[in-house]
Amino acid sequence: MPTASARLRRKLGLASSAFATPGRLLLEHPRSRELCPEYLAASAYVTLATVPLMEAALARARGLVSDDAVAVGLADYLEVHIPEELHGGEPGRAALDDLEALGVDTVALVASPPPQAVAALIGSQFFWIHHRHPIAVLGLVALEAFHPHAPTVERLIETTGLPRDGFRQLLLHAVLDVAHAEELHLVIDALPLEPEHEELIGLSALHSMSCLIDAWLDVVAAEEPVAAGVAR
Amino acid sequence: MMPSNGGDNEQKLRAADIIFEDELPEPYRFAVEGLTKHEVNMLIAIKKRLDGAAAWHETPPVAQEGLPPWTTFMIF
Repeated sequence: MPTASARLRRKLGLASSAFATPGRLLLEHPRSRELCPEYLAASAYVTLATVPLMEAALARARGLVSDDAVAVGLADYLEVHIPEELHGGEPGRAALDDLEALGVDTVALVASPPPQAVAALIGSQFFWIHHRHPIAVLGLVALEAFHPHAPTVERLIETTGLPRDGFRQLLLHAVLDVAHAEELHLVIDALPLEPEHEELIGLSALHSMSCLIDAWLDVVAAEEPVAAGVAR
Repeated sequence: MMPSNGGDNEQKLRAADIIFEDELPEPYRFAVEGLTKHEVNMLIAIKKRLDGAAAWHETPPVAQEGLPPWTTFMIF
């Protein structure tokens, strides 16, 4: 009998090649240097929202704990994982520092609405957390399994010729997220998940992948891509 | 951890090929065994978006030597 995490990995595996396509298009794009900051900026909104989403899920889980064993386990996990994601600083600050090194106006970026697909990703998470079950957030966190791959990031640096300082967090997470993904799978297997919980996690993960694919393709497969805070 | 090795990935890519290249009922049902209707609809939406991108891209992306199939540049 496969475990819950194995069932989740199987679902996400069906979409993994699709999830990789925008990144490969970026690597092969004749204007990769120009598009790379915009590509990274598009998903930076998700990076900025991840900790607030986990905090919302933690607050909701704490409100359910009296009669919800899944919420108890989720709260225990998030209380440990959220500080790990902060890395001792402001949520997303290090990612913004990298974008600044690539020439992105991060003040304008933060002040601007995210791309529509990214807003759909973040908004759906908040809806599921508040109106279904906070376990939904694990679908987003599960995408840490698709962490950056250091040699691939090195190839992107070489291909684009952009400053290495713009890729510090990608290179760091190529290491950190390996353990985070493994830890999450252990947590999922330890929780007393019912089928509806597994369905919600799977839907959350696949929806997040779909939205990110949309956001990235809007950059690498559009004639005239636009994104806030990115000089063209 | 997923995906983390070549053998696993080959199997997953074959499964993905069924999803992305065939929308005939029988192989599709085979590929999505155990998935919910919502999850299947999500996979179809992904496929349609990629088809649109492929129309723009003159040469379809191919796996580059030495790179894993999950080429993401994303920090969660």
